[in-house]
Amino acid sequence: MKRPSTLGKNIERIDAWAKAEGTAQYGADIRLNNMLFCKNVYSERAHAKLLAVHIGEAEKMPGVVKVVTGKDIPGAKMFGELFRDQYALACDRVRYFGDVIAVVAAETQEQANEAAKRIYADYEDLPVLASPKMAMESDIAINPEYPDNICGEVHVNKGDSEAALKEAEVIVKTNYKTHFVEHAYLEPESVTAVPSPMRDEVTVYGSMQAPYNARISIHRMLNIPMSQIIFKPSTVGGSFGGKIETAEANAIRVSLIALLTKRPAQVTLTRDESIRESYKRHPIEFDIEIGAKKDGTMTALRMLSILDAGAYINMSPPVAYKTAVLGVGPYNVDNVHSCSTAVLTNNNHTGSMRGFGTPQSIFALENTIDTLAAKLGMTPTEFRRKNLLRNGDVSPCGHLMDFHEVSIVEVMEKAAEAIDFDRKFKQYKEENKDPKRRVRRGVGISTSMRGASVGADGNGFDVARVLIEVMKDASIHTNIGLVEIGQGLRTVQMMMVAEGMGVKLDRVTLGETDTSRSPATGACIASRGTMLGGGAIADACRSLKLILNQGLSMKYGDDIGEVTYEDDRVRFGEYDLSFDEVVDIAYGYNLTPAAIGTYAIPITDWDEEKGYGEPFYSYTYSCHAAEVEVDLDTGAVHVVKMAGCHDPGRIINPQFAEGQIYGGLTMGQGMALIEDLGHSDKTAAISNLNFNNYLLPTAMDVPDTNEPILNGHPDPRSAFGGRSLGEPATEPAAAAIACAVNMALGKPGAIKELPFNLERVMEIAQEIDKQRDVDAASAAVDKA
Amino acid sequence: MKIRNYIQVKTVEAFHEAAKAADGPITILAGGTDVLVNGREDDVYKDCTVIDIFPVEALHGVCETENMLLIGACTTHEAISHDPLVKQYAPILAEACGAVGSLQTRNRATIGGNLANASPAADTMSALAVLHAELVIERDGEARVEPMTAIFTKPYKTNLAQNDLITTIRVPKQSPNVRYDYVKVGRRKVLSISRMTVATLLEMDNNGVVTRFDMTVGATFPRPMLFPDISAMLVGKRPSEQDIIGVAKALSDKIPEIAGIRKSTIYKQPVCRNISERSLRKLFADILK
Ligand SMILES: Cc1cc2nc3c(=O)[nH]c(=O)nc-3n(C[C@H](O)[C@H](O)[C@H](O)COP(=O)(O)OP(=O)(O)OC[C@H]3O[C@@H](n4cnc5c(N)ncnc54)[C@H](O)[C@@H]3O)c2cc1C
Repeated sequence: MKRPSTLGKNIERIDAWAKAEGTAQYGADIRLNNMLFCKNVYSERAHAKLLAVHIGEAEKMPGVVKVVTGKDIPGAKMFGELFRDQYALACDRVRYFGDVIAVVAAETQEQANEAAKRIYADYEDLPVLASPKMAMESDIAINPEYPDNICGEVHVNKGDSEAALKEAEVIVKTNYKTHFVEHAYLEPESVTAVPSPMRDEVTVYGSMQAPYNARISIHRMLNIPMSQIIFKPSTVGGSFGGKIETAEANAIRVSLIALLTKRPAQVTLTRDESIRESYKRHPIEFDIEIGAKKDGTMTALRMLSILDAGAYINMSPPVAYKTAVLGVGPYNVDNVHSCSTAVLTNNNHTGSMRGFGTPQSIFALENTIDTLAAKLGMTPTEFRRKNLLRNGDVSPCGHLMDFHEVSIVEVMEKAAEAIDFDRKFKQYKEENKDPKRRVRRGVGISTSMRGASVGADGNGFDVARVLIEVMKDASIHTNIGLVEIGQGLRTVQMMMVAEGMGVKLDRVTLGETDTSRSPATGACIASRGTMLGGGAIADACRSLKLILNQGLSMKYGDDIGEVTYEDDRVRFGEYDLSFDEVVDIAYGYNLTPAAIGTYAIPITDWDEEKGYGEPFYSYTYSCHAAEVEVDLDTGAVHVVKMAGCHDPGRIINPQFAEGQIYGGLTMGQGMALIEDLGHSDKTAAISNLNFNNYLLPTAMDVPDTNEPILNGHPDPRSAFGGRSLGEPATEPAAAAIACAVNMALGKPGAIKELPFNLERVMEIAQEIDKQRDVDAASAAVDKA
Repeated sequence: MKIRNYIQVKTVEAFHEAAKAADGPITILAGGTDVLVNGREDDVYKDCTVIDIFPVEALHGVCETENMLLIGACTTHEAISHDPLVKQYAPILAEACGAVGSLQTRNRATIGGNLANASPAADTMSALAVLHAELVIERDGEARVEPMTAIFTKPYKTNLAQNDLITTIRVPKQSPNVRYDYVKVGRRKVLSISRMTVATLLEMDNNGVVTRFDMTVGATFPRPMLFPDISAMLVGKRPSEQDIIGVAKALSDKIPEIAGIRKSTIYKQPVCRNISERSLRKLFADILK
């Protein structure tokens, strides 16, 4: 392969200046003539029959133009990408506190807010199922189509884990539990719908990452042709997977209002509303068992996980898929059983969030691994060195790893080295034996292997498309529907177009995301933008070059031979033309140098029944290492340094890649230590609805010394060699911190539940103090 | 935020006039970092006349008399934490003010507001308690002085009348021999509501005998408190390791005694004991050797 010209360089983000100077337009910045302001009215119950919604009083309030309820939706009442079970406006039932029962549209936001307070409903209470356990034991079905409240089950089977566990010489059996986590995008949802004055058409702006999904929903629910639903996502102020279904529900509501009133309508959620309505990261409970030989060879792994899906199915089955197939880690183990079950409850529904079911399982697995290593008398790195996958091994799900560089060992070594893991592990272990030491130090490490893009549970559906047109001025205009959500994707797409066409970057222009100009493409999810978008771009570039070559043949004859596009030049035979000349030739012959590129991930050999085979087409390898200080007096954890090493295939833009890692480490730190929605497993309510008590790490909490390490090996399975980084960048982080804290406490695997806040760490610290007192007492007795 | 009326005043006299003229409830606005948060979504201030005292120059800044520091009620936490007089004569208060919120908050939030808001988690309270600070409160032009701890009735409630204006926080100047320690336990490094603060102030004679000792816990009790019985445990003594353990235990035992046994007690009682021991060991390091 030729040397890439644009790829691998720190190209400045195309939106950097607009964002820095404040000219970029976010959803809530939009102001239009005659625009209505909307306010959602939320359910006052977590689970009830909705008997009546009283809107009469609100309708009479000053400034109110329209109040809509579920009755006003002309078409299908429910939406959902995989399962259509979610109300945009509740009709007969409410299933969680975030259900919307009515929306008020008024001339001003204040008027809408006032009127919304006058809306009330009659409910007939139903038992609130606030945990998977309650839901599985209950004979009440939250969704009648799922009588046992189980909405997804995925398993993995390799070898005979039961027999292998019986034979294992050393076994660790344990359990872990994780919590709801909020995406905490800086920008709450804001959506604006603008009706066409000419026809039944609506244009939707706002903060969203899956416009094509939303288009389908509006088509089905509001009965207008898909071509007359146009999505133009605004600059997105953060998403982390969170700007899908909630943004979509709001888009449906304001589109309904816009079409009914023939006026633009906007809804902007407050932070409290956003946290109340939006879906979260799945809480998962794990039962896990690992067996090994005395020499440290891992022989068996069993992982049972139960996911809280919340009130709507949303992405729970595919999340369960990733928990089951990726939760078993990057280890070479012959006998595996993993089963993930997703359960409907009356909690906030749970769905896409950076990591998608794996930060939880990695926390459970890696802490169990550390427990096992300690039992075997091995250090965390020794055990992993021995058991991590290598080229040619078969993955825990049955994938023969012979198609790219399996770099996980190297990735781990680099992360470990960055925090001087092996030396510090030894030193701190010794140091921490001193009973007088109240601030203990620890290091932890965790590894992961993440499938790129959707995976085999979406076999056949994972496709991306792009439209590229070479303009008469020889600029290359690209329209692609994969949304920029802050990660730098659009800049990367331009870099890949330049590479694909062999031209300099400044020829490439990119249209704002617009579903009426870009062919349908899957959403910007699943860390798929670079790999899938890249595949589509490569395909379009191939077609474009054929069209341009056609012009060359028309001018220079059929036998021009091979044509190369490189360094902004086009060369064939003895000719060396500028790209501009070649474009002129094509237009001179009335050719149309425009092409749609398509890329679908090849179908992989995954046997869903058996739970064995190739769960993904390719994988990214990651390792995070953390150093912490733990204060036994207060339970406080101070993160001293984290290092994240990743192999995401080719590093297309190193600075963006590092940005992902910095952010990913921070996100994991919050999840591990402080983020807590205050969910009640009795009432299903969440109490921490704003950032005064839903605490995120501040700049002062995140170590300045955090270190991103790029260890890219271009992937032959990806058009431009790049795989995925968005999710890998955060998935092992919480686990690494947990491992480090446990090491400091001298109790591998001791932290069983996230977040390990002051209280949880203190509980373990007190056990240590008790043990110390007992030891001291018995020493005194011995002495006497 | 809905209000009835907004008045900005530039002098204390103007405040009294405005307060007298207002019909209906009054809300004093200083830095606004509590008021604006409270009023953000609800209509709690909709009938109130809001009197903005932040521009009153006389309420800003620190000055001294022979024995006292006089801190204007509208002095910001950031200003106090860097004030040379405070750093010299009451450095524990400089630390406590420096522990509030974040730089942005501290640049706006005032010490008077911190007290009048009466949150049990207010960071200055434990420091002001061990300093035996007093408040100058004016009503209708009449000033009175009260111990800082006396104005609080329960969480978020004081006995101040709505036209009572805290004008000055009076802090006895501490001699250079006074030792102090202020510890804040929070869930993160900044922008963190205290789980607990422990403030300690003490003085010893040349023989290491304690002549004065005050130690209290903040963010734990319904209001700031001082404990004469705790002080008595060390005064007149040259403390030993056993004394330190005893004081820490006695102080932490106050938690279930006063606040009752709650979910948080499981955490707070041992933590109070641990950090009290740690503070005292640090303060008496030379004596314990
Ligand atoms: C982001 C953030 C972080 C915070 N972090 C902390 C923290 O770490 N520690 C902490 O202790 N606090 C914290 N706070 C709370 C707040 O900043 C402090 O309580 C602050 O000192 C309040 O002062 P203010 O001038 O802003 O009060 P205001 O909001 O103006 O007033 C507060 C109350 O006091 C009354 N009042 C104000 N001045 C007077 C006066 N002179 N006489 C009589 N009544 C008066 C007002 O009527 C009101 O009831 C935080 C607040 C925010 C928004």
